[in-house]
Amino acid sequence: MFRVNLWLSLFKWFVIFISNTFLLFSLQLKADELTVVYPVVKPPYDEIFNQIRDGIAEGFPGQISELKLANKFETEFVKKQIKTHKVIALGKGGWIVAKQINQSKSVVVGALPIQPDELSGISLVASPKSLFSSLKSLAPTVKKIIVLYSSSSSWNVEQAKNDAIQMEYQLEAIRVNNIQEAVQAYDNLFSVTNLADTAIWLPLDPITANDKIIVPIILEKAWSHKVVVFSSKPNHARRGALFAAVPDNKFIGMELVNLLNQLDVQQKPIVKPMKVIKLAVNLRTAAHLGLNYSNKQKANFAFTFPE
Amino acid sequence: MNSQLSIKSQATAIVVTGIILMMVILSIVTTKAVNQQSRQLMLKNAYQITQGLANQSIYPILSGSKENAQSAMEQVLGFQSVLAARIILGDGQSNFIFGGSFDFPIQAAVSNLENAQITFETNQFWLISSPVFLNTNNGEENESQIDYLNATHQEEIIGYAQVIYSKQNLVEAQNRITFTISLIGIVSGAALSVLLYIALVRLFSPLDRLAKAMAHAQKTSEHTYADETGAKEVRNMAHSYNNMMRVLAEHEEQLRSHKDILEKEVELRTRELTQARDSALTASRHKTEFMANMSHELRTPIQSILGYGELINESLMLDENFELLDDMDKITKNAERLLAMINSLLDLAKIEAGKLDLQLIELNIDRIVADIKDVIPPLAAKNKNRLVINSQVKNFKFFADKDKLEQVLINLLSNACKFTENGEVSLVISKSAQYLIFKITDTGIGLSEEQQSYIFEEFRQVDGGQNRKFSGTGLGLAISKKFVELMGGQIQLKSKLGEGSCFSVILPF
Repeated sequence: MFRVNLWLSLFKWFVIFISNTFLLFSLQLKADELTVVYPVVKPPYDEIFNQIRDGIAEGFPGQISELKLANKFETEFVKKQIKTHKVIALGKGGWIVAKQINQSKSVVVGALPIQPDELSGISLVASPKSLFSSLKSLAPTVKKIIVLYSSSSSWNVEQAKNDAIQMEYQLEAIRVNNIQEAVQAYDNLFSVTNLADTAIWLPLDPITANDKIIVPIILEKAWSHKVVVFSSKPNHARRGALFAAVPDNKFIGMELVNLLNQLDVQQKPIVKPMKVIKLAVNLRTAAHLGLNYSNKQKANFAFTFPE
Repeated sequence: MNSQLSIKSQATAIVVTGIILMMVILSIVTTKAVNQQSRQLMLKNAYQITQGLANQSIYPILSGSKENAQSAMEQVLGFQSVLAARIILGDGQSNFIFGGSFDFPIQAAVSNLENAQITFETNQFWLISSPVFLNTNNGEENESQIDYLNATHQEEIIGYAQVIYSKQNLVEAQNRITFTISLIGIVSGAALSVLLYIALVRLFSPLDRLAKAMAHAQKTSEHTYADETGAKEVRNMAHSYNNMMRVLAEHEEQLRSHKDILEKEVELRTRELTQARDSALTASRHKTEFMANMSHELRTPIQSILGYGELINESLMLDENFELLDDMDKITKNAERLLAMINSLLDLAKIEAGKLDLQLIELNIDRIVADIKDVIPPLAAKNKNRLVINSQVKNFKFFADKDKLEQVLINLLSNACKFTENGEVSLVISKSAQYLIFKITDTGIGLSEEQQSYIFEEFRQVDGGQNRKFSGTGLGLAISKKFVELMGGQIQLKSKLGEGSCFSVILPF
């Protein structure tokens, strides 16, 4: 009887082992496949997605499927097209798809200035630490950083407060609710006579760094007041900010793969800013501010203006 | 339509009028179009300035700071045509005005504006208003794929930019354009007219020369030839004219030649005719002279015959030799008849020689009637005719040659008696205001129309048969006619063959 029970027990464990082995094997097969969903855009913006895909390909050893989204697409149809469990969604199109499949699949979002929400991803927002680090390198005399922010960039500014302390900067973060408040706050800011050793940070914020209304005036005033302006948006360097963060798209791609792997063990949505950035530097603004950079420094700049 | 103007003048007038008209229309149309365009351009510029001010007004309005508007205002007021500018808030709060003070109310027609528009206009300026839009959307379409998520875009009108834009520059420009185009039009029109005039003068000069050549030919009757130059039609005309002249010259040459021949012929014939006429005249004179002489010479022996005949008759009557007396009567009658014939010939010869004179004396018509009544009744009785003498004029005196008048009347009455048998011969004397009319009518054999045509000619009698039946010289009527005409009157004849004749002697008194 004992032998019979032993054999039955052994058989049971064998069956469990075999089934688990198959299960693990099938899971392993699934884990090696990844779908990248991204919209089709015109040059030169398509290069961003190309570079991110290169980074994904470098970071992900398994098979990668690509799903290009037309300008208008049926989400349900796209949803059916995605056969893999792991999905990296890029751009707004990808974000829309990601929201639909977030519950059933492992999804991370990239190439968007996202903020912590229901989705995980790497935001296009540069990490304050990286920006402050660059500031320290490019404008060493700055002691105080002033930033206006609205709700959309508050998560990043909160992070910045800690980073500023670490980097020994005095950070004055002013929260505004709309563009009128932003304008008035900036106006008050420039009415202060002493802005020496102060830098203005233009976060990736549609209100406080509005390209049409705020940015031209701020850059103009900053120029006349000789105030350092740095921005989280690459284009601002071209327009007159001292420097701006430029995403390292390939690195973002690799980071997205890493984040996707982290999601396997952690179900809570994770949103990370860009820890590694490239720099776009306006040398004319620098010269106007009396800042000179060594050739070694210049070699590290991804873009310089004027071109 | 006939015109006093030459074709050159008319063509020039038409072309020049056309050019002037074209230039005027062109100038007006061009001026209007250019002025309209310059107005549009200036207005577009004004819109852009106002729009630019509106764009630059967002920050000042949002900040509520006049200092922020200063540079934009200075920039706008820097434009030459901008007289004043201001920025007002959308809610119409007057204490937020930036810029100059206007005489216009704050809300002057700015409601419902969607872009820069004229909200007020005078002859001097436009008031242009443009809404100040607050639009926080700041991404391009493609970039929006990597742009902010769930960003709330504000889009509203937060105020208005207003610019008073002077029309002075426009008016000056329009005046300048109008002047320039008018000047160009006038100069071009004048130049074109002069050029066309010269061209037309050149074009029509061959026609002119042709016309002058024709006029010269018409005036002088010379065969002048025209130059065959100029336009094709003119050359053709000149060619045709020259051909015509050539043909005319040939014809004239032929005519001249014919004329010469004819003149020679005529000269020859004239000479011959002159000779013939002279010969005839000479012959006629000789004839007349001969007749006169002969008549005169013939009368003398006949009168001797008659004289001696009377003596013989008297002797025979005394001897009572009646046989010989009858013969002698025949001799006497024939001699008298011959004398009458010779007298007639003599009268005719005198008439032709122009030697017959009228013996005008005062006559009484009653006396004439009495003489006729003595002579004619025996003649009428001879052919058993009834004689009727009806004088409606009594005791009337007039001047005439008695012998010749009686000779005429007796000749006509004796003819009537001679050619009428068993009929009636009448003499009716009447008078009108100026004429005395003797109408001799018979119911005799009458005269045909052909006979009437020659009855008054000398030596002409009716046909031979009649001639044989009725003796006579054939000179009576011819002499009667000439006598009556000599007295200023005329003889008229009305007759019908077989029915009788009516001779009327009409004499003036």
